[in-house]
Amino acid sequence: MRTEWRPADDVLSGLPDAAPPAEAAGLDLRLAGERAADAGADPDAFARLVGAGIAAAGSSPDAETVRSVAVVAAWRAGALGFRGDALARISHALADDAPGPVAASLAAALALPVDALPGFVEGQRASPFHWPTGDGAPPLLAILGGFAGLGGPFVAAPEATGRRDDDGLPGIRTAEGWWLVEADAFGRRITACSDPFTEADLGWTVGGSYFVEVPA
Amino acid sequence: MRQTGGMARGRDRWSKVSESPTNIGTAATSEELTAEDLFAPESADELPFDEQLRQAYFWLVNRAVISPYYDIEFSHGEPLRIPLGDAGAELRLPTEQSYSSNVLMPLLTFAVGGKCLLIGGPGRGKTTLAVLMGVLAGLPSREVRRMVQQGQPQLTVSDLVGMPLPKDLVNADSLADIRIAWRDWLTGPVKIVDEYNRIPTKTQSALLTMVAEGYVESYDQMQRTAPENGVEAWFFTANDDAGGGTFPVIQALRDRIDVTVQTAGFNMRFFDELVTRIEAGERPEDHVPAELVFSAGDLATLPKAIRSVPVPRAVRRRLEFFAGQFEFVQHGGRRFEYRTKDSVATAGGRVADVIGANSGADLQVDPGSQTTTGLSVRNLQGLILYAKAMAFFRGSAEVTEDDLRAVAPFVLRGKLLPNDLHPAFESETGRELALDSATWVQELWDASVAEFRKLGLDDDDPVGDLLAAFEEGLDGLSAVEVSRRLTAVESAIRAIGDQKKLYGRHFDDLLALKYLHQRYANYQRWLASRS
Repeated sequence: MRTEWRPADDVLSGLPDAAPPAEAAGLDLRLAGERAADAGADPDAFARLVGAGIAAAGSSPDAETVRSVAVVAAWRAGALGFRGDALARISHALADDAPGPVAASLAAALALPVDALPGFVEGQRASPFHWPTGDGAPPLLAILGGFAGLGGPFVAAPEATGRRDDDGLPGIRTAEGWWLVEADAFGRRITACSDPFTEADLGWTVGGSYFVEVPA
Repeated sequence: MRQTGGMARGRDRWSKVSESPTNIGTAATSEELTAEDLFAPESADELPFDEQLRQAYFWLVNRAVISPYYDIEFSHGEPLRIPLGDAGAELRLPTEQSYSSNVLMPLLTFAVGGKCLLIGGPGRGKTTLAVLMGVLAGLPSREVRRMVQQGQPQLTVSDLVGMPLPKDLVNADSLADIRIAWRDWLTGPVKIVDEYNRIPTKTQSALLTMVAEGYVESYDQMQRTAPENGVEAWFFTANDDAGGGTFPVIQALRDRIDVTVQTAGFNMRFFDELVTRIEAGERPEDHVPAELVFSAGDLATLPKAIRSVPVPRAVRRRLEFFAGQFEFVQHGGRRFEYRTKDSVATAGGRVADVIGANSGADLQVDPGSQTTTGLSVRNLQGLILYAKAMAFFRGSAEVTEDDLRAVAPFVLRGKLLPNDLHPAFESETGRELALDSATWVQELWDASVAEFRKLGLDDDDPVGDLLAAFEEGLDGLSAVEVSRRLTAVESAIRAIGDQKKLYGRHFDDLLALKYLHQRYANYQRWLASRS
């Protein structure tokens, strides 16, 4: 899917310059990288974030820590499907009174300082687009979609926006039908969806091209 | 043992098999992912069956029979339609992966263990395609070619199934002592009968026993033809299915054919490949990549996996509604239950004339009046089985409306017969439909689904509600409640009866309501006898 997604500069920049080992604690990180990429993660970003997380975990991290680092890195690198598992693992690591080495490695996999982790989890619970920027301003601008002939999902141009009836998730209507849009601070998915939607103005710019602009 | 996806590829031009997933659409899910999805043991070496089937399909259309046709179309929403010329033609560009029927339907037949009739003029690759299915089942290509039964007017039952041993014929005291030298092809997983409409009627009857019952008899000896494990797939070829050939095909044998597929002509834009083959003296069946071949174990498991694909209730209801349109014919008999096309046909009447005599319904909006036949249980079983196979092939978790729509033209060809006197076939476009059974059946399906939606039967189905209430059981039902339900049944019957025009869809509803009335009335009598 060709989708432009322009998060705030500090979401994209500042990724650690680290390379992961091919394996850690008996787990195949090369294979995990391929699967994360299949799920929508940026392979280079995943490698850097996993490398940083493993390095922060010390010389011989246990298997569960490596799994947590990989899940968080995959989410942070753009694979939206790992969001739920990643947040659960971060919350679990923060459950102790004082953040331990696992929390430090997960913070590294997010490219955040460890003391920013509790605020980040809190902010993500409030909004999937939360990212701890300096001024707290809404940081994101997204351009979603694209023509199928150029690798995007749409054969016909988007005509309207709306929300899925059962859970209120946003959608885009084209002449072909409705498309479910899922997105957070790091990634996005657009999938054809036959569930019922109701048209609603989401404040997104629709019409005139195959892209939909999501304003900050 | 399952073949691996990582076997050596690219050995020659025949061996090229798609290395990337053949249906990326199936990966686009909105499921939640976990660490397990990153670190689960690698099982990529063992292709899932549906992926192996898709790879086989793409190898067949791109390498073996060169079939750049995409007449089985799938689209999310409406396809792009481009008008062509001034004669009403248009080319549709589907938005999802679409397929060539003359390759896909035989491949699905192979997968489910069905019976496929390939029709088309000589030299269009019917037998080659069938032979390729035999090779996919793991048989050497030379053996598959040898096992092809050539239909011809002098073909006897012994030619087909085998001879009694001459020694036994001389020495035997009873038929039971005569052993038969059964022919090898009888027990193969793929059976091919070429030009089956040139086989004498008596030999066709022997063939029917094999096709229908899975065994063959000769001199009081019986030979099982269906494999102990797994299923057998049958492929018949004929130059047409409109009654041509040396002998008429017996109706019972014709009815056992699950799908009928027309082979496509060769696209001359792909001529270079043909020249290359002639120069190299090669045949595609000699070059089937090993990773596409299904083992005996696979062939036992594959049909079970396909049959386990669920058909959701909403899809079943659409199929019920569609199939229910075709049996009823007003004036087909005096009693309501007998007003069917089958009653007319078995009494020697002409269904088209009886339909034409009905002034009580609008023929233009009645799909049932476009056919002279209804659908048999066997036809419906075929529809469901092939829809499951289509869903499985496309990597869907359950059968969709689109899967049924896609297979219906091939399952119902030769079974749902057009009423040539119907006004739908009179116009210029109507005459095109009379010649194009696939599109005609698909348009019937589309009209039926549109009507289903228009009637709002997903949400408002009084007969369905009454049946559902009955399904909950009669145990503990009070006399008052039974009486209330009887009244509800009677008023539902009256509500239908008050409509001036009756259509096929009302027929099954009315008979179902009568059934409910009987069951409740019997229960009411039993309650009364107890008190």
